[in-house]
Amino acid sequence: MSKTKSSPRLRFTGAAILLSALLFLVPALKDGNDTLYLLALLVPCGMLLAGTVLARVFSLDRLILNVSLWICAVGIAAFAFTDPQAALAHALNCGAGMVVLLVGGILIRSMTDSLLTSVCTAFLGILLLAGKALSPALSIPVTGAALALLLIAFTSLLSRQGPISAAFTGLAALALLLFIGETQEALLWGITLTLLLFAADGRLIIVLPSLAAVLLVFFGAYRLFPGMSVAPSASSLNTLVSAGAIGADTLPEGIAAAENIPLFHRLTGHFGLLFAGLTALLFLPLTLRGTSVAVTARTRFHSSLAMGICLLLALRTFFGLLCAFEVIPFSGPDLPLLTSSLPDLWSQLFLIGMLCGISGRNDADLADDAHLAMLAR
Amino acid sequence: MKQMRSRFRLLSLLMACAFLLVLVLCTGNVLKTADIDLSSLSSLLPQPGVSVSPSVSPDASVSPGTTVSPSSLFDWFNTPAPSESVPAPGTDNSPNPEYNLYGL
Repeated sequence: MSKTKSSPRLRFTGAAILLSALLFLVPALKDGNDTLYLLALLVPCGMLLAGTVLARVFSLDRLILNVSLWICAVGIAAFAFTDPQAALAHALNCGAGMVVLLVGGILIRSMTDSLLTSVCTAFLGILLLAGKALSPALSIPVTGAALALLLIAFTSLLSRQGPISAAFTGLAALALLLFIGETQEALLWGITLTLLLFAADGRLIIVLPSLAAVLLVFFGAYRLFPGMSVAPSASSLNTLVSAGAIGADTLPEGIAAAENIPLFHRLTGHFGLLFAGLTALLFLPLTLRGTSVAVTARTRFHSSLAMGICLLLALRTFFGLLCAFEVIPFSGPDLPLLTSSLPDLWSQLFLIGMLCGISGRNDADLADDAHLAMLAR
Repeated sequence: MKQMRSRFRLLSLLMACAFLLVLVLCTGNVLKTADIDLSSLSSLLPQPGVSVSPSVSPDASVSPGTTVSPSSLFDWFNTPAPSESVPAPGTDNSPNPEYNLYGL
């Protein structure tokens, strides 16, 4: 990497680290809380370590990694004003999530679209969903992890075996998601697999029946389980708007009164609508960078997997924002990485790790090509 | 593979457009909930040939001393409305004959 190319990245990384320090230092100076001082030290150091050293050592995509780190830092800061202990716990969860991200990045470099990969990941994914269906008392959210595994299985089957076996696996997962009552996740999954089938195959004879099958599964689920529906929105848009443009130290009444405050609402309450909007805008470069990784990948498997990850993250962002701002009057999913649910956070970081790993593999392939071209001269 | 890549590019373009559409919809919903009119935002911008201070011409429909921009916008940003005072006759630079004592 040339010096001129590295300096804007260093400036961006430096600015992000400085801002993250300020996010915790300002409330720390206000309250004098030791936990906030600790966070003001831990979070920027963690970002520096992960964003520079680990990214270089494991050849992870810098932009995707830094944007993800910044979003995680913002999520930790959302807790800092009202509950520093919860902020510290979330920071530790994010720190452990970085390990999961690294695992994803390393795993994808050696993973291929073999039958073993397809069978193992499909089996594990369906087992997780079936386990949730057989024991409804299981309170641990397993959907995120199951979807990550099923995405690997789907793209592996799509690239190796063809669209039909992939479609069957995807539809089975869709039916299970609807059976366990995860309607939102089923909707995201259904759209993702339809778009992936269109993108990877493109033949109408495959896409149209798959779309029809997805709609049929949804229709069948609503007929068999009439009580199944998406929950209406618990908090109103007025509570978000009452936070104002710049927010406040204490959460507005409407947000604070909610039983389980979503992290995005907490963020809006403390930092205001402008900051929350700018944070939401960060998902755009994250998604676009992911799609460029998908386009430049060498193998169909990595290409489809990268695009599938981008679709899942982007659709979750769209629905999360549309529901948070009551464009769709339902209770929506948490935004990616802005979730207090540990399994969901780790599964999203695992997917992002795989995306970073695919980007690293692309760079390695390009370097090999350059080396071969040099030898051929 | 080439066709797949072109479809991926199409998908990425669709995602970018969808993202911007989502942002516009959410912003519109926020503005609607906060009762902020878009036309009131344009009144904040400086207009060429028009002074920022409240109009003192006889054609003005608002009386001097009242704010032109809606108070709800200022309330929403939690900033006090800027105090506006009617300029003393003769100190204003407008060529309005009512206040222009020197015929300029």
